[in-house]
Amino acid sequence: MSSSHPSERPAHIATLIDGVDRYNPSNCHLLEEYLQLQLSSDSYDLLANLALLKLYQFNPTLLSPSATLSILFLSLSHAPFNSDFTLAWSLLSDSFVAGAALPPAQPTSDDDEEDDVVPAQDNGEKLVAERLRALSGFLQARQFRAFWKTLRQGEEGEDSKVKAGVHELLGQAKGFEERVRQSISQEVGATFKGVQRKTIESFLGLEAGSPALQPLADKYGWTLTNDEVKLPKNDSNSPTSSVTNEKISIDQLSRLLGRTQA
Amino acid sequence: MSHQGQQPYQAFGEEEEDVFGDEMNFGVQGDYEGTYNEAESEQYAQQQRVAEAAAHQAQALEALASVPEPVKKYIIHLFSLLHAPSPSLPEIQAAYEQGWSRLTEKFFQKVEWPEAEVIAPLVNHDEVFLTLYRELYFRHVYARLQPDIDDRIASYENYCQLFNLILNSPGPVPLSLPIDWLYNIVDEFVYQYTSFALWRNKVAGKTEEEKLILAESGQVWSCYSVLNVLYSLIQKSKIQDQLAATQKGEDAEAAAGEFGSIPLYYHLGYFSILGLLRVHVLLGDYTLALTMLDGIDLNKKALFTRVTAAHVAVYYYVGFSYLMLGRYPDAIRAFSHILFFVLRLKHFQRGSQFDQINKTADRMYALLAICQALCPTKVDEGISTAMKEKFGDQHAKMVRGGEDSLPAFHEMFNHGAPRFISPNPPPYETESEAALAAYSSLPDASAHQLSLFISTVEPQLSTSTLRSFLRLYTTLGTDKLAGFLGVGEEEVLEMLMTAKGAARKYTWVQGSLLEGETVGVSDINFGIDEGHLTVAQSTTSRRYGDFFLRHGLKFSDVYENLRAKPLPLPKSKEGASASNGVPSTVQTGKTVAAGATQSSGGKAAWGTAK
Repeated sequence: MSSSHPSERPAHIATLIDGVDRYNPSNCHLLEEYLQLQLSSDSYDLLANLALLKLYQFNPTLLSPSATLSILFLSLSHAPFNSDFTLAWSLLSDSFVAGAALPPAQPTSDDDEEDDVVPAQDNGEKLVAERLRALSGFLQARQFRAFWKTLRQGEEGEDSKVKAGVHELLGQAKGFEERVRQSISQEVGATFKGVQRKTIESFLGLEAGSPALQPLADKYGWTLTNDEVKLPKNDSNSPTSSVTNEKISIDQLSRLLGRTQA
Repeated sequence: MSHQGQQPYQAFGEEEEDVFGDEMNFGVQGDYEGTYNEAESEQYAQQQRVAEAAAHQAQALEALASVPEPVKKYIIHLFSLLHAPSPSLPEIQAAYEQGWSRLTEKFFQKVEWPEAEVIAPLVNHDEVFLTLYRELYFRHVYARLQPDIDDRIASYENYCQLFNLILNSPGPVPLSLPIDWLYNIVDEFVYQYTSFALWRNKVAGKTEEEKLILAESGQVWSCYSVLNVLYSLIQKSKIQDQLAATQKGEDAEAAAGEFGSIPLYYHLGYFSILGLLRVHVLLGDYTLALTMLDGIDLNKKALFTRVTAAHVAVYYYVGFSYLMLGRYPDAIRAFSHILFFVLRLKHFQRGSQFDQINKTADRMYALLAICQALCPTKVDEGISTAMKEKFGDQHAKMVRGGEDSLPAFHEMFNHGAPRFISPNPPPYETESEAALAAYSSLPDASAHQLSLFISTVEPQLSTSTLRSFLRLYTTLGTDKLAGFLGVGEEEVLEMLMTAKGAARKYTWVQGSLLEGETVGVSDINFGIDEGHLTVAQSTTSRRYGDFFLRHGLKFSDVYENLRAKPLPLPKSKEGASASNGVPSTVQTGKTVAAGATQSSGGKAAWGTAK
């Protein structure tokens, strides 16, 4: 929930998701196009994406498995430590991800009275979605090393479709790894004032001595030495003990004081 | 149920006289007494009698004759109250609340109220009244009996009719209903929708006929039709514009329009917002649920606080949404606010409405236990005691953390969460047993939300163990901590970062409910520098203010009360005989009081005793 009203949200999308038009199935393509725009421009709009998932929830025949996966993937890359992924997953109860059969393919002709709708081809979307969920779980638990390992190598004996699916997503969203690294850097900065260089490299999924560490260090004000990283002080990583004493404002006393007047 | 509410009242002309007979005192009769003796109506009635409808009429009349007299009186009374030139809301409220439940207890504990067609002659076949009556009729079926598929569908159709009457009228419908009644209509509408959705999606135990009907009536209680009603009520009343104007300190009346300025529409629109809050939560859309309340400030002045059930429900659904958003401090704030209110309410409330409130409160204690385990926060002591009385064991298990605590999280979530619904029906239209069997083997909406919740809890399970270690140290090597926990050092660093994430939460400060700022919410704060943990605890000194304020006010009340009482008469020792007929218990009481006053030298304190 970093921002519920991103500044780059186009006006027509804002009108759409703030009104009853968000339920109109014929607006589906507008939200899907906006999703594509987010992927290509490296932006992110949770509420608009949830509105698209809502349309899918109400109209399973409209569901696009690939758009659903893109939404999950975007929330993973842009807000890995927030509840965004969960919120998106929550709306999938009636779709393929939660286990329901794949919805029938969109009718090719206008005649949707046709009884023998063929189920859409299963391209392993469900498995890919499960993989994204596992990755989200690793990030939530701050198991960064497991996250990078699974992202890159997959799991043993996995379906080849999963690898292909994840690969496709990585290809769609530009700068995924970079985004996740930035989020991880912020988490690290909230906890550490100083940490071993190899630890931070393993958290960030970088090889030892990788040049990719320097730009992050510049961005977040870290000082790098051969085997140490110094991080700037902030409220979160430099704790101070405190005692909060009760403060009573005059407002709270107004009723009691009023009585004494009588 | 056949709809024949359009029957002209003349049809029952003469026979009715006797039935009404002694009902005249309600003043209903007077309105049309003069008309139904007219010749033409007589003639019309004549024709009607030969028609087939006559048989039905006779049946209905027979049924009407068997309706208990007090019930007939009540219906006519309610009708006349609603149709009074200037309806009195308190009187309607009394008839609606006490009258209905009194008669239900007496006559309809296990059976339906009379059908609307039967009582129609009593109320001049008034369409609006009969629709409202049917709404009450079905509400009673849902609350006391087992609705069958016909009831469910007929009730849906009745709601459609009711909302059509209200929404499609060229001008505002001249109807005044108390705010409780209006809330209950919207609330019951949403309740019956969820009840239908749950029932529909349970494939097992459906008869072939039910499956057939369900396959054919896809529109009945569909998510689109329900949302359509709620949003239409919101739009008709322009309630969101009105609320926005009020928030900005502008004149709401100016934004209200022809319909929105009428209380009936204003209230229905307002409660539809609350209805949507609930529907969206049940569909698992927590952000949308919270944005519904954008125009409503959650404070003591909000309109929903005037209906206790609404007040409790709003905080329950808001708190639950926050819980699912992982915003535990906000959830705790919502739950403890309303639980504090319910605790104080306990002394005054009674009846079925309060049973419902108690049930909701019970759920909130379970959810509060979850939140308190994941994010320990100080709450009012009364609430924390009540929570531990109910769910102390489970709370303790959840606080201990680790894998073993998961069953307790399951249990508390199942206890506290609402029953979720799926917007889509099972594939009844396929008429294939295999498709239905495949459908029912899938996790339902509630199972889906439970798994979602558990997957947000799992990463945090290590946090409470860690927290209890950190409490013991001010500095500690991370290698040493890893040794205590029996894990690798890098793993411990990951656990510490998780704990850090749990200690800093996005929390509401002002503005709409989804907004917030990231703030520290834990009393344990720590930082790591090159393998050394530094721990700092922040403590809050005990709060006395509230306690003293409450007791100060209480004391002042007691003092005022005492002062308002007449002075105890000093009694001469011999004169206080019982001869004047005062009951002796009272007598003793007085003597004691007088004695106490005297012995403590109270005379001076009371001022002049002469």
